[in-house]
Amino acid sequence: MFNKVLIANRGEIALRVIRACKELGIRTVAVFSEPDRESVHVAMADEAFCVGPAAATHSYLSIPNIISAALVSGAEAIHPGYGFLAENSNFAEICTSHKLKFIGPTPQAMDMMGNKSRARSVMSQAGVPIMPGTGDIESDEDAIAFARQAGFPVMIKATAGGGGKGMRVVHDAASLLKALGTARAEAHAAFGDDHVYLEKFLPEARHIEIQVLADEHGNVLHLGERDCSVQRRNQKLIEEAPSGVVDEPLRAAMAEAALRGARAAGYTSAGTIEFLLDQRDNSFYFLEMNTRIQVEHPVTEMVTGIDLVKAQIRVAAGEPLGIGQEDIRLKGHAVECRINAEDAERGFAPSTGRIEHLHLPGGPGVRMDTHIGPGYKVLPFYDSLLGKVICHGADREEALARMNRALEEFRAEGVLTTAPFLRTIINNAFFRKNKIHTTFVENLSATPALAAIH
Amino acid sequence: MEPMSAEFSREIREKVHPAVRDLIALAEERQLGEVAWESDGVAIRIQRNPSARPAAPPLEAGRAPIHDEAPEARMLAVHSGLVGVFRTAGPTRVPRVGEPVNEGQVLAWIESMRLMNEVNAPRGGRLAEILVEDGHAVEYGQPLAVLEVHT
Repeated sequence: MFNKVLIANRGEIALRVIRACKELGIRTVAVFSEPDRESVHVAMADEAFCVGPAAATHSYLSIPNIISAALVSGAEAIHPGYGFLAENSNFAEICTSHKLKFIGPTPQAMDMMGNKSRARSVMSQAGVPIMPGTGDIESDEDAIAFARQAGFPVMIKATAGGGGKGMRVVHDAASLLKALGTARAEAHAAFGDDHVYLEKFLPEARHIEIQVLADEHGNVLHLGERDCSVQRRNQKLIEEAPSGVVDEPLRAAMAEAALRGARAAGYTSAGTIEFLLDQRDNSFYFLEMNTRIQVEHPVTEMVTGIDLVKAQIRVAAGEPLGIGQEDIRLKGHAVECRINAEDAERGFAPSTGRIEHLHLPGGPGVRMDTHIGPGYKVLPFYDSLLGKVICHGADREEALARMNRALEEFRAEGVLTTAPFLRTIINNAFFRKNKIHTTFVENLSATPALAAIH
Repeated sequence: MEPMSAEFSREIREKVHPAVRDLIALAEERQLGEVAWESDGVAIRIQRNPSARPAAPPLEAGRAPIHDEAPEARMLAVHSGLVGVFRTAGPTRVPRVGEPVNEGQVLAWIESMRLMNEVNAPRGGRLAEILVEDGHAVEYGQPLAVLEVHT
C-alpha cells in the first residue's frame, strides 16, 4: 500500500479522497490555487502546496506544478478525482514516467474510451449494442444522409466530448447544418477538437449507467446500475441506485454488456459505462464510458456497502479486489441530489458570495459530501457544486422521504442554491411515480402548471 | 502544512485562532526558527525565517509608488512561480546577500520535474535577503528573496 498520496483536485471530491486515504492509513498531500488556501481540503491534508493562481489552467491543470509537488513531497501516487486532469491520458503518462502511480485506468484504456468514436467501435466489436450513429462527420452531406436514414430527432456529439459540451438535439433537416456549426465551435472551445458525430436520439429514454470495478489481476466486477435520468442540459441533477425500471434480467443483460466492454478496453480501476434505455422495449445502447470516479458514486456505495474510492486506491497499489460478483448485493435504495450555487429562477446562473449561515442535513440515512462550511466563499473560478446530499432507505419511498426532509434541513444563507428546485422535483408526482426520462426536467420547466408548484 | 509565507502569517494574524497568534508572538519574542503545537488532532507548525528582522520595511509585491523626493530604498519580494526545490547552487555564480544585482540576474533556481528553473531579479538593486534555505520545498507564490530597490 502507498505511504503518501497527492490529491490533484479541490472541493468535495478532494475531501472524499482524503477521507479514503485516512481510513487506509495513507498520508495525504493537497494542492490548491491561491484563493483556495483556506479550503477544508487544504486543512485536512497532512501537507499542502499552492500550485498556482485562481485560473484552473494555471493551478489545478498545471501538470508541472502538480507533478513537482508530488515529487517534492515524496508522494507515491496521485488521485485525480473527477474533472480537471482525471481523464487526461497525457497526465497519466507523465505520472508513470516520474514513477508516480496514477490512481485510475491505464493511459491506453483512457485513450480507447476517451475518444467517443473509438469507444463506439471498441464496444461494438465487443458485442455491446450501440446507438445507430456515424463516425466523425466529414461533410454536411454525411450528416444529412444519416439523419434521413435514421430519422429525426438526431443528436450531435463532440468526439472528444463530455459534460454536455458540443451536444445538440436536432429535430428537423432545416436546423441541422446550423446546429453542426454551433456544436463544432463549442467542441473546439471546450476540447480544442472540433470533430463531431451524429447519433439517433431517443426522446423519452432513461440514462442508466453500470458501475464497474476491475483490478490488475484480471478480475472485473459490476456494482449494479445508477439511474441518472433527471438531467438539465445533459448535466445530471438527481441520481438513484438501483433504477426503478431495471429488473433482474435487464440488470444482468446490461451488466454483462458493461463487463464485456470493460474487458475489451483492458480496463482497471473504477469506471462507468453509460447506456440509454428505451423504456418501450427495454432495448439499451452504449453511450460512453467514464474512466474516472464519478460525482454520483456515493449512491452505489450506499446500496453495495463498497467504498469505491478506497477500492480505486487498493487496485492502484496492485492489490486484488478480493471479492467476487456473488459478494455484491444491492440493499435498499439510495438517491443523490447535487446542490449547486445557482439561481434556478434565473436560468441557473451561478451565484457567488459568502455563505453566512449554514445548516447541513443529518439524521438517519443521510450522508452529505461537501467542502463548504460557515464563512465559505463561493468563487466564480470553479464549478458551482456546493455538495451532494445522499439518502438511503429500505426502499425508494423511504429514500425519497428522507431526501425531502434533508433538502428542507439544508440552509445556506448568502448564496442562492438549487436545493429548493431539487425539492420540487423530489416531490413532483411524476418523479414519485418514477415516470422520468432524460428530458423530464426540460418538460417540467416548460409546463407553467408544473413549474408553478415550485 | 507547508511553511507559511511572511505575508500569509501577517495576514492571518488578525483572523486566526488565538493559539496561532500566540505561537507567532512566541516565535518572534524568542527568535525561534520553528514552533509546533498539537492538540485534539489539530497540529500547527510555524516556521519563522531566522534572518527576518522585526523592523524590516514592509514587503511590497508590485511597483513602488513614485515620489518627487530623492530616491528612496524599497523592499521588493521575489515570489516563486513554480512548485519545486529551492537551489542556491547551480551552473552559474549567484549574488550573495548584500551584493548588487541587475534586472534579470539569476538569484537562485527552482528544481522542478528534474529541471533547473532560474529565479530572476524582477528589478535591479541589492539582494537584501534570501528567505528559503537551499534544498527546501517551495510552493507557487512563496516569497523567495527580498531585493532592496530604489524608486
